This record gives sequence, C-alpha cells and structure tokens, in this order.
Amino acid sequence: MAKTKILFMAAIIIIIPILTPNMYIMQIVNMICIYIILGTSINVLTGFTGQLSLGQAAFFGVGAYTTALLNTRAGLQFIPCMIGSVLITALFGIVLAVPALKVKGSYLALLTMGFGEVVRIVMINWTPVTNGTAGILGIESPVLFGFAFDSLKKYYFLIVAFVILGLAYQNMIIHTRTGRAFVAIREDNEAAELTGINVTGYKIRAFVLSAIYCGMAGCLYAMMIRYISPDTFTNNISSVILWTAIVGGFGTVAGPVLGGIIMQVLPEALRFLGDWRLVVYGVILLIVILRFPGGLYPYVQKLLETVNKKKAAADAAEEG
Amino acid sequence: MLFQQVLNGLTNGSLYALMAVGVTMVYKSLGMLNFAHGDTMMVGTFITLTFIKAGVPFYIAILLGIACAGVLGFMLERVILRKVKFSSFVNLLIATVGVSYVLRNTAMVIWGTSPQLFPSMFPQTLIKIGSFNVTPQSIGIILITLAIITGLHLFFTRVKIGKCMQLASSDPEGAAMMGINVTYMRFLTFGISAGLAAIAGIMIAPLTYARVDMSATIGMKAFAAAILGGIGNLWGALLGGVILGIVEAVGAAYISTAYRDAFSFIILFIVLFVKPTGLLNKKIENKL
Repeated sequence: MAKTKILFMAAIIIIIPILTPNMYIMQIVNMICIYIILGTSINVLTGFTGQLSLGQAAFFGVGAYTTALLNTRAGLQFIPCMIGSVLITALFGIVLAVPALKVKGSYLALLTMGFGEVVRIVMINWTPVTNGTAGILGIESPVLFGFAFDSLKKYYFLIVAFVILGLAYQNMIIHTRTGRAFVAIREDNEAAELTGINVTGYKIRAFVLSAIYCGMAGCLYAMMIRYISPDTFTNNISSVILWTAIVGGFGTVAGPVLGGIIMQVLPEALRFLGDWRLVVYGVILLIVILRFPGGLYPYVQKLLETVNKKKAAADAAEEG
Repeated sequence: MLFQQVLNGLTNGSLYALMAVGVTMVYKSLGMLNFAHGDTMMVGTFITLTFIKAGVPFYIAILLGIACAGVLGFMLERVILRKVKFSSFVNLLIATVGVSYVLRNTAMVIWGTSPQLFPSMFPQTLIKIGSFNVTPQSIGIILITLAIITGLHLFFTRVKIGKCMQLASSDPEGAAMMGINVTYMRFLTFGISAGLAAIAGIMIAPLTYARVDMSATIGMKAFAAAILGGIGNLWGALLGGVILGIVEAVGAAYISTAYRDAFSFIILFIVLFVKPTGLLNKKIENKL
C-alpha cells in the first residue's frame, strides 16, 4: 500500500511539468513548492512548538540575500550558496530565539513582527551591501555537476527535491524525542519543564530549524527569480507564510502542502478581480479560522476516509 | 536644536500615546494585542479624507470619520473576534492579523499607495518663543492628547459605564456575577479604542501625509509605547508614547534619520528583554 502511494506521488511529481502548458503556470507551480517549504518552516515553529511568529519573511529575506550576495559578489555556485544561506539564517534564528525565550503569546508575535521590520529596514538602508530599494540583479541560475537548471521546468525538479527532503525531515523529526518535546512545549510549557524537558534548548532548536527552512526557500527563490529587492520580504509575506500553514492545518505534515497549493492557486485563479485578489488571502484565512478551526487538511482527510469506506463497502457488497 | 527635537518628540509621542491607549484598553479586556489597531487608524483617516474631498464640512467629516472607525471596531469584535473567542488563543491573535491584512490591502485598492495631502485642523502660523519656533499644531496635538487621556481616566473612574468596563476587563467573572454584561463591555472597549485610533490618525496625517503604509509602522510604535509604559495602564501609555517620541526624534537628529523607525523596535526589544511588565506596572499579569 505504502509503495503504491509513493509510486503514485512520484508519478504526479513527474507528470506536472509535462502537463503544464506554459512558463506562467510553471512559475506558479514553483512558487507553490517554495511556499510549501516556507509553510513547513512555520509549521515547525508555530504548529508543533506553539511559538507564534509573524516575522518569517525576515528569515526568507536573509536566506535570499545571502545567496544573492554570495553569487553576485563572490561568484559562488548553488551548493555553497545554499550552505551559506542555511548557516546565516540559522544564526539569525538563534538571534531571534534568545529574546523570544522570555516572552510568549502576543508579545512573542509582536517581537517577531518587529524583528521582521528591523531586518527589512536594514535591507533598505544598508545600501553598500544590499543595494537598497533597487535590489540585487543578475543572480545566476544554479549549475549542479555540469547540469544547468536554466529553465523553470528544470528548476522545478531541483525545488521538488528540496521539498521532499524538507517534508521527509519534518516527518522524521516529529516522531522522535525532539518532535515530542516540541508538542509538549506547545501543549503546556510548565508541564513540559516539570517532566524534565529542556524547554530552552528545544525552543532554540525549533527557531533554528524554522529559520533553516526559510533560508533554503530564500536560496531557491533568489536563484529562480534571479532578482531580489526588499519589497519581496514585507510583513504581508510573513502573514501569507503563516496563512499557508494555518489554512492547510497546523501541526500536520501535509497541512503546508495543501495550504501552499490553496494560497498560491486561488489568488491566481481570481486574477480577474484585479488588485482585490490580494484581499482574498486574508478573506480565505478568516473563513478558515471561523469555519474550519484546525485548518482544511483534517476535513480533507475525513472526506477521503468516508469515500474509502464507501468504496470498501461497495466492493464488499459486490463480492458478497 | 535639542529643545526643538524634544518638542517634535513630544508631539509625535502624544500621538503614539493616543494610539497606545487603545492598544492598552483592548489588551486589558481581551488579554492580547489587537494587531488590526494601526489599520483601523489608517482606514479611519482615509474615510475622513474621503468625506472632506466629497465636500462635507471639515469638522463634521472628522466626526464622521471617528464614528466610522468606531463602527469598524465594533464590527471587528462582533463579527470576527466573538466567533473565534473560545476556540484557541493563537487563532484569536491570528484573526486580528488577518483583519489587519484585509483592511490594509482593501485600503490599497480603494485609496492607492501614493501619499495624500491631509488638511490640518490647526493654523499654520509659527509662534516664536525666544529663538524657538513652535507650531500651533504641536501644542494643539499635545493638549488634545492630554485632554483625551484625562477624560478617559475620569470616564473609567467616575462614570458608571466606565467603571463597569474597567471591572469587566480586570475581573470578568466577578463582573459577570455583579450583573455586568462582560461581552457588551468588551464590545464597547473595541469601539472606543478604534475611535481613539481614528482621532490619532486624523492628527498624524497632516504631519506625514495620509498613506496606506502608515498603519504598520505607527501600529508597531503604539504597541511599543503601550508595553514600554506598562500595558493596561492609561498613564503608562502616555509615558511610553512620550519617551518613545523623544528618543525617536533625538535619535533621528543625532544618530541617523534612515533608521528612525528602527529605534522604536530596538526600544521594544530592550523592554521585552529587560522588563516585560513595563515602567509603571509592578506585578506580572500572566494573561498570555
């Protein structure tokens, strides 16, 4: 059963780029993949560990800027850029985690939001390094072992590899001691501490892990779009990253995948609304929070189960 | 030079204080920050501007703008927050962020992103005191803020409904047992808080132009001011706002104008790290 499932998934992943008719849709597919990684990043931090963050765009931006600078200034290739992005964002994760350990709830949300704003203000004003509001142009497409990922379709496979890696790692970690500690901290900070869980250590770990996911996404984003500017890493993006995980379903591995698809496809499908489609993001979120607390994935799962049961019942009836 | 900067700081600080008062009121009654506060201010300001442009007399337009913002606050509580109230705290907080997102992006579509001129309610002539220039605008803003906060203080300590609101937010169960409709008091709190935000917005806009992106920065500064002074405390909000305004003005003049907006965040980080209860609060209210 598991084998057929994996084969089925692999078939879908391979068929998607064959079926997409043009670059515009391919771009959306790639953005979905990047948002799945971003959604996973906040899922680890908020969904599993319960530390609400409204500043994920800062990590995303730091990852993208690191790659852009390493590539355009130092001429480094994809792998060192990726490693650089991951290391630098991990560092930023620690920087945010230290003050974040002292606060919770609204204050934590505010702290992370302020962190995001400060990072953006620095991006705009530290002109010698970041080139200010003009942004950084001319980032090269990645070349891996002599193979150039120079089109969106080729690039898709590179991103998908990272998505699978990210999801697999998340799936693995939630079933280990670390994952259980995360959930314990989310459910009750004091009780977790009383049972001997090193709350401080695990919180820092959650922040760093979350930052690393964003760093990866930032690196992939910078090398795909090949141009970055501070406009991309605003509060709005932090919100959309959060929505991605919430709409899909916090604390589930598949949640950010579903959320990434919904949050990227719906606004594109609603393009005829013009500028109003940005409002749609927020409206989707409010509907989900009011009508489907816990995200859409649990509901989809329930739906699939009832369908399967009906099918099984029908099969049994046929045999009988 | 320094005096001039301090005066500028006091002016801006009063406005932050006015915003912070709304933040503080909501925090006290709900135990969380209202992340849509800055956006309520921005929408209130733009509605006022729309009325002015439509030819409504200036002061009536202001009153209408404040009333519209109040209605927006009521609706936020009645239509959104009351419905999520009992599911989860994180959801409640995220709902206000969602409302903020919707308001900001709706405003961008309706009013555009370019800054718009906003008429001032004060005369533009300069008053000279010795060698210093003082604008009637600064003095007006400071006096109006002081009057509003004093008025609120009296409202919460002398007027019956104000006392009920105060009790409902500090001890909801006790208040409910005394026959106070706690939900209704919360509803009122949101409306008043939104109205105050609109007043602040109408006074800020002539200084910085009316712009959609003012909601985020000024909203953050309001949070910083409220926390700095000690959240839940009216005079704390005033103190926090004024300190923030002065630090910002002096910092911008002597350190760097480009990082002007970053100063408030740095103060916020320091306060959260060193004394999360703020300057005027003594005990930690563990309300989440």
